[in-house]
Amino acid sequence: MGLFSKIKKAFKKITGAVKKVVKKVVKGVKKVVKKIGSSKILKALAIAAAAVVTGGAALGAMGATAASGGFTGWMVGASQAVTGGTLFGTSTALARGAGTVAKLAASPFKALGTGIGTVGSKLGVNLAPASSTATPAQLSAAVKTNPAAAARASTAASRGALNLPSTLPGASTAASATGTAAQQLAATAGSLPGATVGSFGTSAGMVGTVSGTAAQQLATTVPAALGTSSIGTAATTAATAATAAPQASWFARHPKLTSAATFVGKTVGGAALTGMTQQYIAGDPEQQGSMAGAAYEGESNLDPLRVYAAQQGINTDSIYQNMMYGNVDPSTQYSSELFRQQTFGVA
Amino acid sequence: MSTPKRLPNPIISSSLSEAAASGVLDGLDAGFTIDEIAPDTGPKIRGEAKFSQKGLDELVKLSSQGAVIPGQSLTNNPEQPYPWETPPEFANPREALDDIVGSIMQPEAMKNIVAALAQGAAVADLGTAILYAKFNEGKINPDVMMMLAEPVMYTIMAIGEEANIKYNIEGDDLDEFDEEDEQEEFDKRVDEFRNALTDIKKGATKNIETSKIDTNVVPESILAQVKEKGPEIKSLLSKGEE
Repeated sequence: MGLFSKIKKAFKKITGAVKKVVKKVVKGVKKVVKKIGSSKILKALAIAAAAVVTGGAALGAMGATAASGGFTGWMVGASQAVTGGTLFGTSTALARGAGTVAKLAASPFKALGTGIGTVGSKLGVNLAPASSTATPAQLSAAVKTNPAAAARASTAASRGALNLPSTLPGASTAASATGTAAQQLAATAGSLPGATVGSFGTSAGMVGTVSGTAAQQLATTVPAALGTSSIGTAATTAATAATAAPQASWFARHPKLTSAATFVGKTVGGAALTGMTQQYIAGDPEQQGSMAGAAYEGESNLDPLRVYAAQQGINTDSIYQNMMYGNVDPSTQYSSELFRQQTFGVA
Repeated sequence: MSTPKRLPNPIISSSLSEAAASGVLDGLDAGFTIDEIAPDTGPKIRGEAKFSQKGLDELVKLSSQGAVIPGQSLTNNPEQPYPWETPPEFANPREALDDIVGSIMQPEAMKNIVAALAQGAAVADLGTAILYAKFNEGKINPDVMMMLAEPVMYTIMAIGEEANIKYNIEGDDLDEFDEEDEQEEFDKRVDEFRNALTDIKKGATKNIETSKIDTNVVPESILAQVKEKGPEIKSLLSKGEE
Protein backbone atom coordinates (compact mmCIF):
# COMPACT_ATOMS: atom_id res chain seq x y z
CA MET A 1 0.00 0.00 0.00
CA GLY A 2 1.38 3.36 -0.97
CA LEU A 3 1.77 6.42 1.21
CA PHE A 4 -1.30 8.14 -0.20
CA SER A 5 -3.56 5.16 0.34
CA LYS A 6 -2.34 4.89 3.91
CA ILE A 7 -2.94 8.57 4.51
CA LYS A 8 -6.43 8.36 3.05
CA LYS A 9 -7.27 5.37 5.20
CA ALA A 10 -5.93 6.96 8.34
CA PHE A 11 -7.80 10.15 7.56
CA LYS A 12 -11.06 8.32 7.11
CA LYS A 13 -10.55 6.70 10.48
CA ILE A 14 -9.95 10.05 12.10
CA THR A 15 -12.97 11.75 10.58
CA GLY A 16 -15.08 8.83 11.69
CA ALA A 17 -13.64 9.16 15.16
CA VAL A 18 -14.39 12.88 15.20
CA LYS A 19 -18.01 12.16 14.44
CA LYS A 20 -18.12 9.67 17.29
CA VAL A 21 -16.62 12.22 19.65
CA VAL A 22 -19.14 14.83 18.52
CA LYS A 23 -21.95 12.38 19.22
CA LYS A 24 -20.53 11.53 22.60
CA VAL A 25 -20.16 15.17 23.56
CA VAL A 26 -23.69 15.96 22.36
CA LYS A 27 -24.96 13.18 24.61
CA GLY A 28 -22.82 14.45 27.49
CA VAL A 29 -24.21 17.96 27.20
CA LYS A 30 -27.71 16.58 26.83
CA LYS A 31 -27.41 14.91 30.20
CA VAL A 32 -26.67 18.26 31.80
CA VAL A 33 -29.09 20.37 29.78
CA LYS A 34 -32.41 18.60 29.66
CA LYS A 35 -35.03 18.71 26.95
CA ILE A 36 -32.85 20.03 24.16
CA GLY A 37 -32.57 18.70 20.65
CA SER A 38 -29.25 17.28 19.56
CA SER A 39 -29.02 19.64 16.60
CA LYS A 40 -29.25 22.61 18.96
CA ILE A 41 -26.38 21.26 21.02
CA LEU A 42 -24.46 20.56 17.84
CA LYS A 43 -24.89 24.18 16.86
CA ALA A 44 -23.73 25.39 20.27
CA LEU A 45 -20.73 23.08 20.04
CA ALA A 46 -19.83 24.25 16.55
CA ILE A 47 -20.01 27.89 17.66
CA ALA A 48 -17.95 27.27 20.78
CA ALA A 49 -15.41 25.16 18.86
CA ALA A 50 -15.00 27.79 16.17
CA ALA A 51 -14.45 30.35 18.90
CA VAL A 52 -11.76 28.15 20.40
CA VAL A 53 -10.11 27.34 17.06
CA THR A 54 -9.89 30.84 15.69
CA GLY A 55 -10.03 32.88 18.83
CA GLY A 56 -13.37 34.22 17.72
CA ALA A 57 -12.04 35.71 14.54
CA ALA A 58 -13.96 33.29 12.33
CA LEU A 59 -17.24 33.99 14.03
CA GLY A 60 -16.54 37.69 14.01
CA ALA A 61 -15.92 37.43 10.31
CA MET A 62 -19.22 35.68 9.84
CA GLY A 63 -20.99 38.32 11.89
CA ALA A 64 -22.05 36.01 14.65
CA THR A 65 -23.36 37.22 17.96
CA ALA A 66 -19.97 38.42 19.12
CA ALA A 67 -20.72 41.97 18.21
CA SER A 68 -23.97 41.98 20.15
CA GLY A 69 -22.27 40.83 23.33
CA GLY A 70 -23.75 37.33 23.37
CA PHE A 71 -22.15 34.03 24.27
CA THR A 72 -19.51 34.26 21.56
CA GLY A 73 -18.58 37.76 22.60
CA TRP A 74 -18.34 36.59 26.19
CA MET A 75 -16.17 33.64 25.21
CA VAL A 76 -13.85 35.52 22.91
CA GLY A 77 -13.86 38.92 24.54
CA ALA A 78 -10.12 39.06 24.67
CA SER A 79 -9.79 38.20 21.01
CA GLN A 80 -12.31 40.84 20.02
CA ALA A 81 -10.42 43.43 22.00
CA VAL A 82 -7.44 42.73 19.81
CA THR A 83 -9.13 42.44 16.43
CA GLY A 84 -11.86 44.99 16.94
CA GLY A 85 -11.14 47.54 19.54
CA THR A 86 -12.95 50.61 20.72
CA LEU A 87 -12.47 52.36 17.41
CA PHE A 88 -15.66 50.70 16.22
CA GLY A 89 -17.70 51.42 19.29
CA THR A 90 -19.65 54.44 18.12
CA SER A 91 -23.26 53.96 17.23
CA THR A 92 -23.59 55.95 14.07
CA ALA A 93 -24.23 54.15 10.84
CA LEU A 94 -21.17 55.80 9.44
CA ALA A 95 -18.91 54.45 12.12
CA ARG A 96 -20.40 51.00 11.67
CA GLY A 97 -19.70 51.12 7.98
CA ALA A 98 -16.21 52.46 8.34
CA GLY A 99 -15.58 50.07 11.19
CA THR A 100 -16.54 47.10 9.09
CA VAL A 101 -14.15 48.11 6.38
CA ALA A 102 -11.34 48.73 8.80
CA LYS A 103 -11.96 45.37 10.43
CA LEU A 104 -11.87 43.64 7.09
CA ALA A 105 -8.57 45.23 6.35
CA ALA A 106 -7.26 44.56 9.83
CA SER A 107 -7.96 40.88 10.11
CA PRO A 108 -7.48 38.16 7.55
CA PHE A 109 -10.30 36.12 9.08
CA LYS A 110 -12.78 38.91 8.64
CA ALA A 111 -12.67 39.13 4.93
CA LEU A 112 -16.24 38.09 4.42
CA GLY A 113 -17.83 40.76 6.55
CA THR A 114 -21.14 40.65 8.29
CA GLY A 115 -23.60 37.89 8.89
CA ILE A 116 -23.24 34.97 6.56
CA GLY A 117 -26.26 33.50 8.32
CA THR A 118 -28.44 36.52 7.81
CA VAL A 119 -27.10 37.57 4.48
CA GLY A 120 -26.44 34.23 2.89
CA SER A 121 -27.83 35.47 -0.37
CA LYS A 122 -24.78 37.60 -0.90
CA LEU A 123 -22.78 34.48 -1.46
CA GLY A 124 -24.60 33.96 -4.69
CA VAL A 125 -26.20 30.81 -3.32
CA ASN A 126 -29.89 31.18 -2.86
CA LEU A 127 -29.90 29.69 0.62
CA ALA A 128 -31.17 31.87 3.38
CA PRO A 129 -34.87 32.34 3.97
CA ALA A 130 -36.01 35.90 3.47
CA SER A 131 -34.46 37.17 6.67
CA SER A 132 -31.76 39.34 5.26
CA THR A 133 -31.42 42.55 7.19
CA ALA A 134 -28.43 44.02 5.44
CA THR A 135 -28.83 46.59 2.74
CA PRO A 136 -27.38 45.97 -0.69
CA ALA A 137 -24.84 48.70 -0.03
CA GLN A 138 -23.70 46.94 3.16
CA LEU A 139 -23.44 43.66 1.33
CA SER A 140 -21.37 45.02 -1.44
CA ALA A 141 -19.18 46.89 1.03
CA ALA A 142 -18.67 43.76 3.05
CA VAL A 143 -17.89 41.50 0.16
CA LYS A 144 -15.57 43.86 -1.58
CA THR A 145 -12.51 44.38 0.51
CA ASN A 146 -11.76 47.55 -1.37
CA PRO A 147 -11.76 50.46 1.06
CA ALA A 148 -12.50 52.89 -1.71
CA ALA A 149 -15.67 51.03 -2.66
CA ALA A 150 -16.82 50.96 0.95
CA ALA A 151 -16.00 54.59 1.43
CA ARG A 152 -18.07 55.39 -1.63
CA ALA A 153 -20.95 53.45 -0.15
CA SER A 154 -20.66 55.41 3.06
CA THR A 155 -21.19 58.70 1.30
CA ALA A 156 -24.86 57.96 0.75
CA ALA A 157 -26.98 60.35 2.76
CA SER A 158 -28.80 57.51 4.51
CA ARG A 159 -25.57 56.10 5.87
CA GLY A 160 -24.25 59.15 7.60
CA ALA A 161 -22.80 61.07 4.71
CA LEU A 162 -19.15 61.18 5.54
CA ASN A 163 -17.83 64.19 3.72
CA LEU A 164 -15.14 62.47 1.74
CA PRO A 165 -13.57 64.17 -1.21
CA SER A 166 -15.09 62.97 -4.40
CA THR A 167 -11.72 62.11 -5.82
CA LEU A 168 -10.84 58.93 -3.97
CA PRO A 169 -9.18 56.42 -6.23
CA GLY A 170 -11.91 54.92 -8.31
CA ALA A 171 -14.57 57.17 -6.85
CA SER A 172 -14.78 59.31 -9.89
CA THR A 173 -13.66 58.49 -13.33
CA ALA A 174 -12.00 61.06 -15.45
CA ALA A 175 -13.88 61.47 -18.67
CA SER A 176 -12.87 58.80 -21.10
CA ALA A 177 -9.16 59.10 -21.65
CA THR A 178 -7.68 57.44 -24.65
CA GLY A 179 -4.24 56.97 -26.03
CA THR A 180 -1.10 55.55 -24.57
CA ALA A 181 -0.72 54.93 -20.85
CA ALA A 182 1.26 58.13 -20.52
CA GLN A 183 -1.39 60.10 -22.37
CA GLN A 184 -4.17 58.61 -20.23
CA LEU A 185 -2.26 59.40 -17.06
CA ALA A 186 -1.74 62.93 -18.18
CA ALA A 187 -5.45 63.29 -18.86
CA THR A 188 -6.60 61.75 -15.55
CA ALA A 189 -3.89 63.01 -13.21
CA GLY A 190 -6.08 65.79 -12.05
CA SER A 191 -8.56 63.39 -10.48
CA LEU A 192 -6.02 61.71 -8.19
CA PRO A 193 -6.24 62.86 -4.56
CA GLY A 194 -3.62 65.29 -3.59
CA ALA A 195 -2.44 65.71 -7.13
CA THR A 196 -3.31 69.34 -7.23
CA VAL A 197 -3.89 71.29 -4.07
CA GLY A 198 -6.41 73.73 -5.33
CA SER A 199 -8.62 71.46 -7.34
CA PHE A 200 -10.68 70.03 -4.47
CA GLY A 201 -11.59 73.08 -2.52
CA THR A 202 -13.92 72.15 0.25
CA SER A 203 -16.41 69.40 1.00
CA ALA A 204 -19.38 69.49 3.31
CA GLY A 205 -20.86 66.67 5.37
CA MET A 206 -21.52 65.56 8.88
CA VAL A 207 -18.16 66.81 10.13
CA GLY A 208 -18.75 70.24 8.76
CA THR A 209 -16.96 71.97 5.98
CA VAL A 210 -13.32 71.12 5.49
CA SER A 211 -10.86 72.23 2.91
CA GLY A 212 -7.55 71.21 1.45
CA THR A 213 -6.38 68.29 -0.57
CA ALA A 214 -8.16 64.96 -0.38
CA ALA A 215 -5.56 63.64 2.06
CA GLN A 216 -5.93 66.66 4.30
CA GLN A 217 -9.71 66.40 4.25
CA LEU A 218 -9.60 62.72 5.11
CA ALA A 219 -7.17 63.36 7.95
CA THR A 220 -9.75 65.65 9.50
CA THR A 221 -13.06 64.02 8.66
CA VAL A 222 -12.40 60.33 9.32
CA PRO A 223 -11.06 60.66 12.89
CA ALA A 224 -13.82 63.15 13.68
CA ALA A 225 -16.49 60.78 12.39
CA LEU A 226 -15.07 57.84 14.30
CA GLY A 227 -14.73 59.81 17.49
CA THR A 228 -10.97 59.45 17.69
CA SER A 229 -8.28 62.07 17.89
CA SER A 230 -6.89 63.59 14.75
CA ILE A 231 -4.49 61.44 12.78
CA GLY A 232 -2.06 64.29 12.37
CA THR A 233 1.06 64.03 10.36
CA ALA A 234 2.99 60.90 9.67
CA ALA A 235 5.71 61.98 12.04
CA THR A 236 3.21 62.50 14.84
CA THR A 237 1.63 59.10 14.24
CA ALA A 238 4.99 57.41 14.33
CA ALA A 239 5.84 59.19 17.56
CA THR A 240 2.51 58.11 19.06
CA ALA A 241 3.10 54.52 18.04
CA ALA A 242 6.53 54.58 19.60
CA THR A 243 5.25 55.87 22.90
CA ALA A 244 2.01 53.87 23.01
CA ALA A 245 1.65 51.36 25.79
CA PRO A 246 2.49 47.90 24.44
CA GLN A 247 -0.26 45.29 24.22
CA ALA A 248 -0.20 43.11 27.31
CA SER A 249 1.23 39.69 26.59
CA TRP A 250 -0.98 36.63 26.32
CA PHE A 251 0.34 35.43 29.67
CA ALA A 252 -0.53 38.71 31.33
CA ARG A 253 -4.04 38.57 29.93
CA HIS A 254 -4.62 35.00 31.14
CA PRO A 255 -3.26 34.94 34.68
CA LYS A 256 -5.17 31.81 35.75
CA LEU A 257 -4.11 29.79 32.75
CA THR A 258 -0.56 31.07 33.09
CA SER A 259 -0.37 30.04 36.72
CA ALA A 260 -1.73 26.58 35.83
CA ALA A 261 0.76 26.21 33.00
CA THR A 262 3.57 27.45 35.22
CA PHE A 263 2.64 24.89 37.85
CA VAL A 264 2.65 22.08 35.29
CA GLY A 265 5.90 23.36 33.84
CA LYS A 266 7.48 23.56 37.25
CA THR A 267 6.33 20.06 38.18
CA VAL A 268 7.55 18.43 34.98
CA GLY A 269 10.75 20.45 34.89
CA GLY A 270 11.38 19.74 38.56
CA ALA A 271 11.05 15.99 38.03
CA ALA A 272 13.48 16.08 35.11
CA LEU A 273 15.98 18.13 37.09
CA THR A 274 15.73 15.77 40.07
CA GLY A 275 16.54 12.79 37.85
CA MET A 276 19.42 14.63 36.28
CA THR A 277 20.85 15.73 39.64
CA GLN A 278 20.68 12.19 40.95
CA GLN A 279 22.67 10.98 37.98
CA TYR A 280 25.31 13.62 38.61
CA ILE A 281 25.53 12.52 42.25
CA ALA A 282 25.83 8.87 41.16
CA GLY A 283 28.93 9.93 39.24
CA ASP A 284 28.27 8.32 35.91
CA PRO A 285 29.10 11.07 33.43
CA GLU A 286 28.06 9.02 30.40
CA GLN A 287 24.51 8.69 31.61
CA GLN A 288 23.90 12.30 32.58
CA GLY A 289 20.65 13.57 31.18
CA SER A 290 19.26 10.14 30.50
CA MET A 291 15.94 9.15 31.96
CA ALA A 292 16.07 7.95 35.53
CA GLY A 293 15.06 4.33 35.91
CA ALA A 294 15.64 3.41 32.28
CA ALA A 295 16.48 -0.23 31.73
CA TYR A 296 20.20 -0.55 31.15
CA GLU A 297 21.71 -3.97 30.82
CA GLY A 298 24.22 -4.07 33.64
CA GLU A 299 27.57 -5.74 33.25
CA SER A 300 26.71 -8.14 36.04
CA ASN A 301 24.33 -9.90 33.65
CA LEU A 302 27.37 -11.06 31.72
CA ASP A 303 29.11 -12.54 34.77
CA PRO A 304 27.86 -16.17 34.47
CA LEU A 305 29.00 -16.24 30.85
CA ARG A 306 32.43 -14.88 31.77
CA VAL A 307 32.87 -17.47 34.49
CA TYR A 308 31.91 -20.24 32.09
CA ALA A 309 34.17 -18.88 29.36
CA ALA A 310 37.09 -18.66 31.78
CA GLN A 311 36.51 -22.30 32.83
CA GLN A 312 36.42 -23.46 29.22
CA GLY A 313 39.37 -21.33 28.16
CA ILE A 314 37.26 -19.32 25.75
CA ASN A 315 38.03 -15.71 24.99
CA THR A 316 34.82 -13.70 25.39
CA ASP A 317 35.85 -11.46 22.50
CA SER A 318 35.40 -14.38 20.14
CA ILE A 319 32.39 -15.83 21.91
CA TYR A 320 30.35 -16.05 18.72
CA GLN A 321 32.84 -18.51 17.30
CA ASN A 322 32.05 -20.88 20.15
CA MET A 323 28.40 -21.65 19.71
CA MET A 324 26.89 -23.40 22.66
CA TYR A 325 23.92 -25.62 23.09
CA GLY A 326 23.02 -24.32 26.50
CA ASN A 327 26.43 -24.50 28.09
CA VAL A 328 27.48 -27.56 26.07
CA ASP A 329 29.30 -27.61 22.75
CA PRO A 330 26.72 -28.69 20.13
CA SER A 331 29.32 -30.90 18.46
CA THR A 332 28.99 -33.35 21.34
CA GLN A 333 25.55 -34.20 19.99
CA TYR A 334 26.67 -35.00 16.46
CA SER A 335 27.17 -38.72 17.10
CA SER A 336 24.13 -39.29 19.28
CA GLU A 337 21.27 -41.06 17.52
CA LEU A 338 17.76 -39.88 17.46
CA PHE A 339 15.10 -41.73 19.45
CA ARG A 340 13.91 -44.92 17.78
CA GLN A 341 10.98 -47.19 18.49
CA GLN A 342 9.62 -50.40 17.06
CA THR A 343 6.97 -50.03 14.41
CA PHE A 344 4.43 -52.50 12.97
CA GLY A 345 5.29 -53.92 9.67
CA VAL A 346 2.71 -53.46 6.96
CA ALA A 347 2.11 -56.40 4.66
CA MET B 1 -30.40 38.88 26.85
CA SER B 2 -29.07 37.72 30.18
CA THR B 3 -25.88 39.16 31.57
CA PRO B 4 -23.21 36.59 32.38
CA LYS B 5 -22.44 36.29 36.06
CA ARG B 6 -18.75 35.86 35.52
CA LEU B 7 -15.93 35.65 33.01
CA PRO B 8 -15.26 32.36 31.23
CA ASN B 9 -13.11 29.84 33.02
CA PRO B 10 -9.93 28.77 31.30
CA ILE B 11 -10.33 25.48 29.44
CA ILE B 12 -7.50 23.01 29.20
CA SER B 13 -8.28 20.02 27.02
CA SER B 14 -6.50 17.81 24.55
CA SER B 15 -9.63 17.46 22.42
CA LEU B 16 -11.42 20.30 20.71
CA SER B 17 -14.78 18.57 21.11
CA GLU B 18 -14.32 18.41 24.84
CA ALA B 19 -13.08 21.98 24.98
CA ALA B 20 -16.17 23.12 23.08
CA ALA B 21 -18.42 21.11 25.38
CA SER B 22 -16.70 22.66 28.41
CA GLY B 23 -17.18 26.10 26.86
CA VAL B 24 -20.89 25.51 26.34
CA LEU B 25 -21.38 24.15 29.85
CA ASP B 26 -19.36 27.03 31.27
CA GLY B 27 -21.56 29.47 29.38
CA LEU B 28 -24.69 27.82 30.74
CA ASP B 29 -23.23 27.94 34.23
CA ALA B 30 -22.39 31.63 33.80
CA GLY B 31 -26.03 32.43 33.12
CA PHE B 32 -26.56 32.08 29.38
CA THR B 33 -29.50 30.11 28.11
CA ILE B 34 -29.04 27.55 25.36
CA ASP B 35 -31.08 29.82 23.06
CA GLU B 36 -28.60 32.61 23.63
CA ILE B 37 -25.68 30.33 22.91
CA ALA B 38 -27.24 28.79 19.82
CA PRO B 39 -29.94 31.21 18.70
CA ASP B 40 -32.78 29.95 16.55
CA THR B 41 -32.47 31.25 13.03
CA GLY B 42 -35.59 29.76 11.56
CA PRO B 43 -35.98 26.62 9.50
CA LYS B 44 -32.74 25.29 8.14
CA ILE B 45 -31.83 24.58 4.56
CA ARG B 46 -31.50 20.84 4.10
CA GLY B 47 -28.17 19.93 2.60
CA GLU B 48 -29.46 16.76 1.08
CA ALA B 49 -27.16 14.72 -1.09
CA LYS B 50 -28.82 14.07 -4.43
CA PHE B 51 -27.84 11.44 -6.91
CA SER B 52 -26.25 12.88 -9.99
CA GLN B 53 -25.65 10.74 -13.03
CA LYS B 54 -23.32 13.38 -14.38
CA GLY B 55 -21.22 13.25 -11.23
CA LEU B 56 -21.09 9.48 -11.32
CA ASP B 57 -20.03 9.49 -14.96
CA GLU B 58 -17.31 11.95 -14.13
CA LEU B 59 -16.09 9.74 -11.31
CA VAL B 60 -16.09 6.64 -13.50
CA LYS B 61 -14.22 8.56 -16.17
CA LEU B 62 -11.60 9.68 -13.68
CA SER B 63 -11.12 6.24 -12.17
CA SER B 64 -10.88 4.60 -15.58
CA GLN B 65 -7.95 6.78 -16.52
CA GLY B 66 -5.69 4.38 -14.70
CA ALA B 67 -3.22 4.82 -11.92
CA VAL B 68 0.48 5.38 -11.89
CA ILE B 69 2.76 2.45 -12.59
CA PRO B 70 4.30 1.02 -9.42
CA GLY B 71 7.76 2.51 -9.01
CA GLN B 72 7.00 5.38 -11.36
CA SER B 73 8.00 7.93 -8.74
CA LEU B 74 11.48 6.41 -8.65
CA THR B 75 12.03 7.56 -12.20
CA ASN B 76 11.50 11.22 -11.21
CA ASN B 77 14.41 13.57 -10.98
CA PRO B 78 15.44 13.74 -7.30
CA GLU B 79 16.46 17.35 -7.85
CA GLN B 80 12.84 18.26 -8.53
CA PRO B 81 10.83 16.64 -5.75
CA TYR B 82 7.08 16.97 -5.32
CA PRO B 83 6.04 19.63 -2.80
CA TRP B 84 5.06 16.98 -0.27
CA GLU B 85 8.49 15.43 -0.56
CA THR B 86 10.13 18.61 0.67
CA PRO B 87 10.10 19.90 4.28
CA PRO B 88 6.65 21.34 5.05
CA GLU B 89 6.05 25.04 5.27
CA PHE B 90 4.38 24.68 8.65
CA ALA B 91 5.65 22.24 11.21
CA ASN B 92 3.72 23.95 13.99
CA PRO B 93 0.04 22.87 13.94
CA ARG B 94 -1.08 26.20 15.36
CA GLU B 95 0.54 28.15 12.54
CA ALA B 96 -0.79 25.66 10.02
CA LEU B 97 -4.29 26.04 11.44
CA ASP B 98 -4.08 29.82 11.20
CA ASP B 99 -3.09 29.53 7.56
CA ILE B 100 -5.82 27.01 6.73
CA VAL B 101 -8.58 28.86 8.56
CA GLY B 102 -7.38 32.05 6.90
CA SER B 103 -7.78 30.50 3.49
CA ILE B 104 -11.17 28.99 4.40
CA MET B 105 -12.41 32.40 5.48
CA GLN B 106 -11.76 33.98 2.12
CA PRO B 107 -15.05 35.06 0.51
CA GLU B 108 -14.67 32.82 -2.53
CA ALA B 109 -13.71 29.77 -0.47
CA MET B 110 -16.53 30.41 1.98
CA LYS B 111 -19.01 30.74 -0.86
CA ASN B 112 -17.92 27.39 -2.27
CA ILE B 113 -18.04 25.70 1.13
CA VAL B 114 -21.54 26.97 1.85
CA ALA B 115 -22.69 25.91 -1.61
CA ALA B 116 -21.15 22.46 -1.16
CA LEU B 117 -22.75 21.98 2.25
CA ALA B 118 -26.10 23.07 0.88
CA GLN B 119 -25.80 20.54 -1.92
CA GLY B 120 -25.11 17.66 0.43
CA ALA B 121 -21.33 17.49 0.73
CA ALA B 122 -20.25 16.11 4.09
CA VAL B 123 -18.17 18.13 6.53
CA ALA B 124 -15.67 15.27 6.82
CA ASP B 125 -15.21 15.15 3.04
CA LEU B 126 -14.69 18.89 2.79
CA GLY B 127 -12.24 18.86 5.68
CA THR B 128 -10.36 15.97 4.11
CA ALA B 129 -10.18 17.72 0.77
CA ILE B 130 -8.90 20.96 2.29
CA LEU B 131 -6.25 19.30 4.42
CA TYR B 132 -5.21 16.91 1.68
CA ALA B 133 -4.77 19.83 -0.68
CA LYS B 134 -2.59 21.58 1.89
CA PHE B 135 -0.52 18.43 2.23
CA ASN B 136 -0.17 18.17 -1.54
CA GLU B 137 0.97 21.77 -1.69
CA GLY B 138 3.71 20.92 0.79
CA LYS B 139 2.29 23.21 3.45
CA ILE B 140 1.86 20.56 6.12
CA ASN B 141 3.10 17.08 6.84
CA PRO B 142 0.79 14.08 7.32
CA ASP B 143 1.05 14.24 11.12
CA VAL B 144 -0.10 17.86 11.24
CA MET B 145 -2.81 16.99 8.72
CA MET B 146 -4.21 14.38 11.09
CA MET B 147 -4.00 16.72 14.05
CA LEU B 148 -5.94 19.42 12.24
CA ALA B 149 -8.81 17.19 11.11
CA GLU B 150 -10.98 18.02 14.10
CA PRO B 151 -10.45 21.82 14.16
CA VAL B 152 -11.01 22.14 10.43
CA MET B 153 -14.16 20.04 10.58
CA TYR B 154 -15.50 22.19 13.39
CA THR B 155 -14.71 25.36 11.45
CA ILE B 156 -16.70 24.02 8.50
CA MET B 157 -19.51 23.03 10.83
CA ALA B 158 -19.56 26.56 12.24
CA ILE B 159 -19.80 27.95 8.73
CA GLY B 160 -22.70 25.58 8.05
CA GLU B 161 -24.46 26.64 11.24
CA GLU B 162 -23.98 30.33 10.51
CA ALA B 163 -25.33 29.81 7.01
CA ASN B 164 -28.32 28.05 8.57
CA ILE B 165 -27.75 24.79 6.75
CA LYS B 166 -28.55 21.34 8.00
CA TYR B 167 -25.41 19.59 6.86
CA ASN B 168 -24.02 16.06 6.68
CA ILE B 169 -21.12 15.36 9.00
CA GLU B 170 -20.00 12.11 7.45
CA GLY B 171 -21.65 10.44 4.49
CA ASP B 172 -25.38 10.85 4.32
CA ASP B 173 -26.30 11.41 7.97
CA LEU B 174 -28.43 14.50 7.72
CA ASP B 175 -31.16 13.31 10.08
CA GLU B 176 -29.06 11.06 12.26
CA PHE B 177 -29.20 13.30 15.31
CA ASP B 178 -32.93 13.89 14.89
CA GLU B 179 -33.57 10.17 14.53
CA GLU B 180 -31.61 9.55 17.70
CA ASP B 181 -33.70 12.18 19.44
CA GLU B 182 -36.86 10.48 18.25
CA GLN B 183 -35.59 7.09 19.38
CA GLU B 184 -34.66 8.52 22.76
CA GLU B 185 -38.07 10.10 23.11
CA PHE B 186 -39.72 6.81 22.16
CA ASP B 187 -37.62 4.85 24.67
CA LYS B 188 -38.43 7.39 27.33
CA ARG B 189 -42.18 7.03 26.72
CA VAL B 190 -41.94 3.25 26.78
CA ASP B 191 -40.06 3.40 30.08
CA GLU B 192 -42.67 5.73 31.53
CA PHE B 193 -45.42 3.36 30.44
CA ARG B 194 -43.63 0.38 31.95
CA ASN B 195 -43.08 2.20 35.22
CA ALA B 196 -46.70 3.22 35.36
CA LEU B 197 -47.79 -0.33 34.67
CA THR B 198 -45.50 -1.68 37.38
CA ASP B 199 -46.86 0.84 39.85
CA ILE B 200 -50.43 -0.14 39.04
CA LYS B 201 -49.59 -3.80 39.36
CA LYS B 202 -47.86 -3.34 42.67
CA GLY B 203 -50.66 -1.19 44.03
CA ALA B 204 -53.35 -3.61 42.87
CA THR B 205 -51.71 -6.77 44.25
CA LYS B 206 -50.99 -5.06 47.53
CA ASN B 207 -54.64 -4.25 48.06
CA ILE B 208 -56.03 -7.70 47.24
CA GLU B 209 -57.26 -9.50 50.31
CA THR B 210 -58.41 -12.98 49.47
CA SER B 211 -60.64 -13.11 52.55
CA LYS B 212 -62.74 -10.28 51.13
CA ILE B 213 -63.24 -11.82 47.74
CA ASP B 214 -66.81 -12.91 47.13
CA THR B 215 -66.92 -16.71 46.82
CA ASN B 216 -69.83 -16.40 44.40
CA VAL B 217 -67.52 -14.68 42.00
CA VAL B 218 -64.40 -16.73 42.52
CA PRO B 219 -64.92 -20.33 43.62
CA GLU B 220 -63.33 -21.38 46.93
CA SER B 221 -61.20 -24.03 45.28
CA ILE B 222 -59.54 -21.43 43.09
CA LEU B 223 -59.09 -19.09 46.02
CA ALA B 224 -57.38 -21.90 47.91
CA GLN B 225 -55.06 -22.41 44.99
CA VAL B 226 -54.31 -18.69 44.92
CA LYS B 227 -53.48 -18.74 48.60
CA GLU B 228 -51.34 -21.81 48.19
CA LYS B 229 -49.39 -20.80 45.07
CA GLY B 230 -49.39 -17.06 45.74
CA PRO B 231 -46.49 -15.41 43.87
CA GLU B 232 -46.06 -18.38 41.55
CA ILE B 233 -49.24 -17.48 39.72
CA LYS B 234 -48.38 -15.62 36.58
CA SER B 235 -50.44 -13.39 34.45
CA LEU B 236 -51.85 -14.77 31.23
CA LEU B 237 -49.91 -12.06 29.44
CA SER B 238 -46.62 -12.74 31.18
CA LYS B 239 -43.66 -14.12 29.32
CA GLY B 240 -43.73 -17.91 29.33
CA GLU B 241 -40.88 -20.08 30.46
CA GLU B 242 -38.35 -20.81 27.78
